[in-house]
Amino acid sequence: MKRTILILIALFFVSSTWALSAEKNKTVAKLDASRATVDAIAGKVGDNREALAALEKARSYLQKASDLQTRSRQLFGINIGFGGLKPEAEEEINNYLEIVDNVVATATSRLENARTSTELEIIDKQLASVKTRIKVYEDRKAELEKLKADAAKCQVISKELETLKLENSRFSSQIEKQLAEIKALTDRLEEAKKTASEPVKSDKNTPVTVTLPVPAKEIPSAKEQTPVRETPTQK
Amino acid sequence: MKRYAFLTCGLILMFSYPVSADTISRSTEDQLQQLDQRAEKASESRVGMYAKDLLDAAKLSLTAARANAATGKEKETLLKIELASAQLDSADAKAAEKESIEKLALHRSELRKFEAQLERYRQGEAN
Repeated sequence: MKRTILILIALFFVSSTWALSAEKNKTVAKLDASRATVDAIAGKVGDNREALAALEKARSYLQKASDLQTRSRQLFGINIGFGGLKPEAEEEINNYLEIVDNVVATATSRLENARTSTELEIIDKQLASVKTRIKVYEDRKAELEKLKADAAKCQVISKELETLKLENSRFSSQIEKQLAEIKALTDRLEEAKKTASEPVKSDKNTPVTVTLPVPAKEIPSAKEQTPVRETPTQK
Repeated sequence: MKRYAFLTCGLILMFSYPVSADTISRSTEDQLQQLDQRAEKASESRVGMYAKDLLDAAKLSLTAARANAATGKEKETLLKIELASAQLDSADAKAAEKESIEKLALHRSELRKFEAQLERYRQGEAN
């Protein structure tokens, strides 16, 4: 009977120790995982101030959790530095670890944000360069359009010029013809004037000789022919 | 003897009152209020759009903090406040990150579009 009681008591101790160590391992595993996450992010932080601050914060909470985990070990409700964790301490540790996770997430986001910002800066520079080059092409295109419009106008003007030239040549020839006519008329007029003015001249200085037509039959011989002088007074 | 008994009881009551009272310190209340306002403001900003899950988690922590505050658990309240603060920071950072990524994608696509246009100009295909 005594032996059975002793075996039962031994079994109780063994099982409770297993249970407590399992509980302890769970929290320790969480702590280790958080520590590993913090160490992993520490390698990527570089000189990013925001991420460094977040990392420091995460480390301080990790330390708090670790200290609490060490402090809160108990066996059968007595703090003796080993055994399981107090339920309230476990909740607090979980809270700290959750804070660590959030702080690590914040650091990761800020690192990603910094990387994206750098990339954005590069892309914006490229974009500005491409836009400048496009503007050069567009300016050229606009200039070309303007030149094409000018060329079209020039063609119209050229056609008009051709028409004007044709008209000009036509008018020139007409003018020449008319000038010739005018000249001919002027000549005739001059001739007529001369002809008309001749007796007047003779009145003053020399006598005007008017040759009257004589019928052929009555034409006298050259010897008999005598010029008839007519003066305005005689008329 | 009776006098000592009364005095002892009075002392016990006097020292135990602040512990059992369902109140938290003024600074904790202020912190809680500030975080409430911050969470409200975040809900109306880009954070509500880009990091809703984290914001919801922060609000949940704030609710827990308020519940702790209502029962006078100062330490637990502070712990939940710290958690909520970290969650709000994380939500802010996540929102900024997502916004930045979105902006980057937009600018990248714009760059591709302009590069294609430039290429067309180069090849003389542009209208």
